Amino acid sequence: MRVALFVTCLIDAFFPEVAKSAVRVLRRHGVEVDVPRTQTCCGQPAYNSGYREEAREVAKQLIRAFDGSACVVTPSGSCAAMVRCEYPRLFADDPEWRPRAEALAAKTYEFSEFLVNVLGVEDPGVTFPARATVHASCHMTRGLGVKDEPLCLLKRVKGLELCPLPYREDCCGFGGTFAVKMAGISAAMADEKIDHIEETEAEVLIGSDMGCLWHLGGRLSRRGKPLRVLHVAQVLDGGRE
Amino acid sequence: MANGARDARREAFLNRVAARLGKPRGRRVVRPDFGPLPPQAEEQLATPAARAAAFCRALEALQGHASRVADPSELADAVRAIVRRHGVRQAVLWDAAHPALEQVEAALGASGVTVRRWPDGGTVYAEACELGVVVAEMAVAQTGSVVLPARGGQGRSVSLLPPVLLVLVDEERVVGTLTDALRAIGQRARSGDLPACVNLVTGPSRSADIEMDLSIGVHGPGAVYAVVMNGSASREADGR
Amino acid sequence: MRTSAERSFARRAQQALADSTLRAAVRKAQERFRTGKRNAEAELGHWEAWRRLGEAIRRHTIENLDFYLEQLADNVEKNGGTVVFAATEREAVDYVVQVAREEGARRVVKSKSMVSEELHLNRALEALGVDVVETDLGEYIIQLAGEPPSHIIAPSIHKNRRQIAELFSRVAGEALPDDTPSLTRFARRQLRRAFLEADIGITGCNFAVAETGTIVLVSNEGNARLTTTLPRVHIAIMGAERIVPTWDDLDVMLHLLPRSATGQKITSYVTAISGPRRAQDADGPEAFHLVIVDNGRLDILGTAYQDVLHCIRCGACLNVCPVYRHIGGHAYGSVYSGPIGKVLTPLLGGMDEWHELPHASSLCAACSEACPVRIPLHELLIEHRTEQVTRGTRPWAERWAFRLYRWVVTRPALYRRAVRWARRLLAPLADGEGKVRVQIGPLKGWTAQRDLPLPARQSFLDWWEEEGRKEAARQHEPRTEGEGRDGERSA
Repeated sequence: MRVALFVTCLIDAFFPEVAKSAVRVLRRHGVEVDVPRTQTCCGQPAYNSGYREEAREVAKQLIRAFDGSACVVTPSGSCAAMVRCEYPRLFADDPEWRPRAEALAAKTYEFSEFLVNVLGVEDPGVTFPARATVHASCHMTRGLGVKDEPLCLLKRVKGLELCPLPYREDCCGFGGTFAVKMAGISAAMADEKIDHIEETEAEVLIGSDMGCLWHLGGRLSRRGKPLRVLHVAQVLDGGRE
Repeated sequence: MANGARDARREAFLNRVAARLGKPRGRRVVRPDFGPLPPQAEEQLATPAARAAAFCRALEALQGHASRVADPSELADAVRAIVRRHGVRQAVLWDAAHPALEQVEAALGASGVTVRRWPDGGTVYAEACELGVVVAEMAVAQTGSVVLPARGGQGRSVSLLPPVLLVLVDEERVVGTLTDALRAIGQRARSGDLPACVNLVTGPSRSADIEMDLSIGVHGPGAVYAVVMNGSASREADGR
Repeated sequence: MRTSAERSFARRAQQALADSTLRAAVRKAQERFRTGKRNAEAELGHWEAWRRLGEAIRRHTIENLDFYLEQLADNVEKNGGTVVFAATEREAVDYVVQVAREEGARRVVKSKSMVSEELHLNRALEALGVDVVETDLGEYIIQLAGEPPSHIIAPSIHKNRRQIAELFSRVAGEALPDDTPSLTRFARRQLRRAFLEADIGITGCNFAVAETGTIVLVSNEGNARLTTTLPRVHIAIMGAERIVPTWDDLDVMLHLLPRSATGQKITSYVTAISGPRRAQDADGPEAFHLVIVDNGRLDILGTAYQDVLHCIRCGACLNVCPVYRHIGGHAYGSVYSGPIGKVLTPLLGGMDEWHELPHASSLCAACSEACPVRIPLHELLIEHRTEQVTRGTRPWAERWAFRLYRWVVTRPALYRRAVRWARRLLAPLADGEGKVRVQIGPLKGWTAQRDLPLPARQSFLDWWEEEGRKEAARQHEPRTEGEGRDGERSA
């Protein structure tokens, strides 16, 4: 099987190790990985801020980039939700682009969703001894409806002790530009999330969206809290950073 | 406001609604069939006795008091217990022809309680009473609710002003679900038999406005008793 | 350039964030409500099917609102009531004031009604010299405090018992203990007197059943019953959208509302009022007036926001909203707070005044998921934001930022170069650990609260080009047994 990796701009620029891990994990499960060179961003920052015209132009760029791919995998619940839920709506009145948007939406999968539901992976075959808790990001759980897939995989990682996170599905306060526009409220939300994480006494925080983890990691760092923050792909890659 | 001005405003208002919706005024609208309600567990309560038992459980779960009686003497016992527990000296009863009301009236009288039928004594008397007594037109097993329509001497105040409420319930009148009760009310309403006020009363008055701390009896009755009379009790009371 | 409303939202939010008593109280209430709702949903079963049914009924009703309003008005009049349609706040208030004047009313008792808050009705009646008493315990508390409600169904959740005891003691003229039973007893005594003396009772309306002209009030304390039983006149005020076609539809709504609001199967009281008392009735008001209010609602019909009129005012969206949890209801500055407030307030009160509210959301969609009639609240927030952009009211810097963003990310080569430049620009600002902490310029929004890691030395796409291809080529080479399992060395 051959898939195209949609890296996402945030991972591309700030967290390339996440994408490298995703590539290694996919390959380990017998998947050939392509990375179309002309991909950039899904347009979500513009869309969520109300810049629909900008979002459309950016979306067209992404649709073009993946035109030749049969299946697209992305290590981001939020970007997957943007493509799958919002692209068809974004081009609802555009007879030329709507089918192309729908086609991309139909072939795009979030990373853990792809492993579990498409590849049928039950045992990721990896060891990562750590005490960890898992953050459920909003767009992935409520937008995509992908809730249990990361846990299915993580439960079978040898040596990984998973501590249930209280209020797992509460927002961490990232919300894209919200984190900047309403920084005080955003930080209060992060602090509440961090309190819940600390209750679990976990030493690693695992997530499926680098947006959330960027924000939580930055807040943890600001508050001087020594918690490791990893993407699911990195855990399935044996915890490589 | 003059009727003419009111009518003009009404027309302007409704025309505006139709215009905004892009629809012609005065068209006939048929309410679509929204399909069946999702299944509910309580629908399986097939017998009156099972429904009565479920009703009692539901009411007790809400800090109400429910009991079932088999004959008038048990009903009188239940009344005496309420009088003792709440120090009842005055009571107000619905003015209705139900025989159980007479049983209660007699039992109260025998316990030395002053009894009046609404609206005898008016609001001032009802306000001074410790106990109000009414008869449920229906009761709901699913929720522990009783249906109290206001009609003539079957006034709203009786179930509202005194701090203790006693509701008499015929076992046959316990329906399974809220849906059953509302369907019955709706049916009668459509046939023109709709009182100015129907109350569904479910347990005591409650509030959580002070620090989310549950407090009972802030405005309405703080103690609600339901006595469910089974078939033989009602028949005996009926003199049948 | 910031307007005063913007500054004041920010200021109010900041104040709320600093108020730990408030935040603890809101958290506790929210916790109780949302847990109750979850349990009630599970207990009923098939919750999603109930929601879909609720949505379908609300949609049909609003799509045919003119028909059902006319049917309702005809039936209320058949029942002996008087119906008034009010296009504006002014018309609604004027009518109530006129009735109060004609009745020579000296005291009015009110049971909780959000629409009357919206109309600022108390102010108008008080100006007439009428004594207005809010009788819902929570509303009574905030009336004494001179504050607006901070939650749709629990208006005083921001007050603790010590503050409540102080307010009540002031009325009592003596120090009252601050335990709940004592405070409740005091309120009951005080308010019962008001009920007995009142000339007019004013209520809202949870649902109006068009087919029989029935106003349905859903309550727990019993004050709505007292308000509609003791005074000789009852005035019910309803937003024009609070209507259901039939009793069967009311049934569905009664399955959704209490469960979503407080986690109850049903409230202590559901009171169905069909006109004034009948001739033979021994109690109840002699006159019944229904005021049907537009006040900006009709402008929502036929727009992208029409679904917001499906709202049944359960407050479930407030109870799951993380923003509401941290700032409480007053910070919004509007009658309706939380997610529903963020969508509705700019529609009713004007976007110019309330343009910041749609941005006070992380778009986490907990509200849309909680809504018992499936209003896509977070999507409507994006709709508001889009409209602001279309109207050109967003700040200049933001507009240019997104123009620049578009220009860059639609040009892959330029995007790749920009990513490389980002590190070079930020590197001088980083500390020894490679973290940017300085709070300057556009960075400030982020770094005021969090550390910013530097962009990677090499972006993934650059790495892929350099290493990835080699690695892919290696994979196609024939392997020997001795080689590592995945044959990887790089990264």
